[in-house]
Amino acid sequence: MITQELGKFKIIGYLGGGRFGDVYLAHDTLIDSDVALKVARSHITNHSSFLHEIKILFSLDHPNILRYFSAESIEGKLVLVTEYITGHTLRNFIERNCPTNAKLQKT
Amino acid sequence: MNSLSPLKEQISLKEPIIISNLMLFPVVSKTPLKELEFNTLKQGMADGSVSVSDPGNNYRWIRVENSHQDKDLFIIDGEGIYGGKQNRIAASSLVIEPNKSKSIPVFCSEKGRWSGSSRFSSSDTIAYPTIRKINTKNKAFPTGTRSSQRTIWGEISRKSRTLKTYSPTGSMQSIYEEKQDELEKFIEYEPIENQIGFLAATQKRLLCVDIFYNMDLFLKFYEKLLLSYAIDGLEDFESGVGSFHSKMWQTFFNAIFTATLIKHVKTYNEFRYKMKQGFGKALFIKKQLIHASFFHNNPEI
Repeated sequence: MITQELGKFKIIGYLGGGRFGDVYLAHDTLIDSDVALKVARSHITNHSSFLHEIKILFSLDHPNILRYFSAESIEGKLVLVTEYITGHTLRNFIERNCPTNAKLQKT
Repeated sequence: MNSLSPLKEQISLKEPIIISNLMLFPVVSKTPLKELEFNTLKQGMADGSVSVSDPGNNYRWIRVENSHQDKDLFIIDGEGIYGGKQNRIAASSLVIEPNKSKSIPVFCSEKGRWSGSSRFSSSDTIAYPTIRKINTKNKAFPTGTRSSQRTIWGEISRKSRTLKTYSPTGSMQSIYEEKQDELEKFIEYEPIENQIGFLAATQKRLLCVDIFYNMDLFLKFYEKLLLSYAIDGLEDFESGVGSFHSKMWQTFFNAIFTATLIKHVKTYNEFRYKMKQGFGKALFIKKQLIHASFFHNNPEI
């Protein structure tokens, strides 16, 4: 549960969500660029898993892994700020391109 | 009494709250009302002051008895009523006075069952906005038509398919049950001071506007409404990412106060309205607005 203006970020759209948080497309009004925000769910009081994910991302540097920008506490929410990448989710890709049994048998 | 324009000075829209792909604008009242108090189906069925029965000869009507000594019973448009020979949803918001019983118009929300007790046992959900919109479009209210019933069955079946849920009897309720884990986060919403309603939208469309008599009445329904909005929200997200609008929906909200009255169903004190961008209905009791719901003309924007 967040406001559309979250600190310096303006929430543009919802990208997806998991057990620990929701991911939004946001505009960083200070540097005028789009980023992805992962906002931890408020009912989760133990953020150790979320922080662990942040630490791992911070230690990685690879062209195929999205870039870590920062981790912030905004209006009492723990927020992970990363590079925004366009495209589809793995789930969408599998649902659209998943081979059927018939196709598998042919191959 | 039946014009919505005087409400313009009394209610306003606040800044939106976002939960996943739902955008919720709180509707707040400047002058809190306290004169009227209402019981709900859920409260009444739990404490035994309300009984709901299935006459068994016409699926479009059920009998509701409010045996409470001094409280009116308020039933919200789209309210799910479970049990009986098949699950139903209320076709309109309405009020039943203390110690009175009434036949109320309903739609069937469980196509594949016509068996079981003549008594209804619970009411835990409200139909999602797409169904309430179809219901509000039904020009034959309060009688309903076979065609509008078929449209509702078709919509439940379509939604179930899209969200990959299954019910052997085609029940709307099972969609909510199977999606329970995904719906949980929407209950995080915390109402603000003097809140009496919502304007709910997804990244793709305006779902609906719900406005209640006062905050007490709103609080009795807001969690069920959130879950109903979320059911439409889940589907909208499945069909692709969009972006949140604010100004467009604020314009829609302001247009409600200019809506033209097109029909009055006296038996249920229901007033129907239309405006350029959409349509809606309102229940008035003792010259007070008890509940209003409005929908956008376009399915998607």
